[in-house]
Amino acid sequence: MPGIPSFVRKNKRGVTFVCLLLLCLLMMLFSNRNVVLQPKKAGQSFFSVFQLSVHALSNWFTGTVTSIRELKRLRSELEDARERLMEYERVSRDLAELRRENRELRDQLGFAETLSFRYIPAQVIARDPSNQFSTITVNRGRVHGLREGMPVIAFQGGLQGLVGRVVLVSLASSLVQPITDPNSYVAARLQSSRFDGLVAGSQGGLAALTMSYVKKLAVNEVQYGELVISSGMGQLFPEGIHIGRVREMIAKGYEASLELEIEPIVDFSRLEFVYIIDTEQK
Amino acid sequence: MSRDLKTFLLSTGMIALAVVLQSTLLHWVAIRGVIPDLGLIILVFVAIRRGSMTAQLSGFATGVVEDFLSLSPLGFHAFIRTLVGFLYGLTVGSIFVDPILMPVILTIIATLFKALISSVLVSFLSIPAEGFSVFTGPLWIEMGYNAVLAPFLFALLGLLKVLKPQKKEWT
Repeated sequence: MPGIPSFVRKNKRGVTFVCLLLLCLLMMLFSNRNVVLQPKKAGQSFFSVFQLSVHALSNWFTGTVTSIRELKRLRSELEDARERLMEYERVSRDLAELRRENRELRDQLGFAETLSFRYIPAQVIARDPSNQFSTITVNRGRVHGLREGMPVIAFQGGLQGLVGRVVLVSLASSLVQPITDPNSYVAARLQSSRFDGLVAGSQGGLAALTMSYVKKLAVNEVQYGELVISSGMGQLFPEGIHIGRVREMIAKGYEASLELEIEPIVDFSRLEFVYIIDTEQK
Repeated sequence: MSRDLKTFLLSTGMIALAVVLQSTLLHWVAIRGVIPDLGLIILVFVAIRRGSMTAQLSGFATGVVEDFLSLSPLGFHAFIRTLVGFLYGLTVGSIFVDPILMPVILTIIATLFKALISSVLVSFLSIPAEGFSVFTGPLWIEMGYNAVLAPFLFALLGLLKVLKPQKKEWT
């Protein structure tokens, strides 16, 4: 068939275009069903090196420039810290006494010890290069003991807030899917009224979450600003991690459940340090 | 090394660097969490200067890089950038690019086109993405951001000898 090679030669540009588009579509079809994870993992491993380099370079630059101002600030903070230390020493003595009392009371009530997990600290080194997705890249990977599915938390405003979970682990970095992603689901509970529901990221690019499947009779008990925590059901996230606060209540007449709009505890735009929870190592 | 290959390597390298910057440093200058798409502006420039072949290949290669660094399915950004590169490349030699107005117009159209294609892909392939819920805030911010940066980037890229307009399409 001499026709095909000559057709390809004549229409090199168009043929390349069609081939590239078909290749993209095939990759998308498989990747969307999580089949093509290995090439993505290898690619992420390789290109995250550049992200790490740019992050390190910018860190070095900003660190150098701000070091003088930092020294000044540190001196005044040292003075404050000394004063606070004295105060804390006093509080610490009271705390030891309270702990002892608490332990005795727990023993009397037969409560189990609170479970604590191994926390792996990590730094956010990059975010999604586009505005359509909400990836967070951290500087910890397989060599640091990370596995896919591990929950990620952060401390902000004195609260431990849920960030998301690790979805792709490469050698020295990992991709985290934040709870604001439309594909993220967390089994949740209202902290005071104790109603269960499912928190999901919202479609549309707003940093708000939606809590669905909350029983309709909760409408009179749920308070605006009430804390929402992870319920521990589904085994994906440990129990008791703060997710957000109730911002809006939507009760549609034709639906059997309530829908709550949740404001996340974590401000994702100023997220710098996170902790990955190793739920298998206590 | 032929000029076409040199152009392809240079443009791919520049767009890939822009993608890495978008994922790291540019988040410092994000407006309401929205970052500009420098890679798209560079791709538009390469396409109207060097034609479809170079632009679609660069678009594909850098789209794959973007997919590696994102939660998007592999091929999502590659598809959009290949399409943008090819279509803009068809206009090679037929558009007079002044220093300000045309870069702004071309970039605005490219951003809108990118939003449209990504929305179509998200709905047809059921991709779980925040996407651009077409014609909401983030899209307008990105469009404005890209439009402001386009004349500057076009001026800078215009200094590169290897990206000078071509006379004959690479076929």
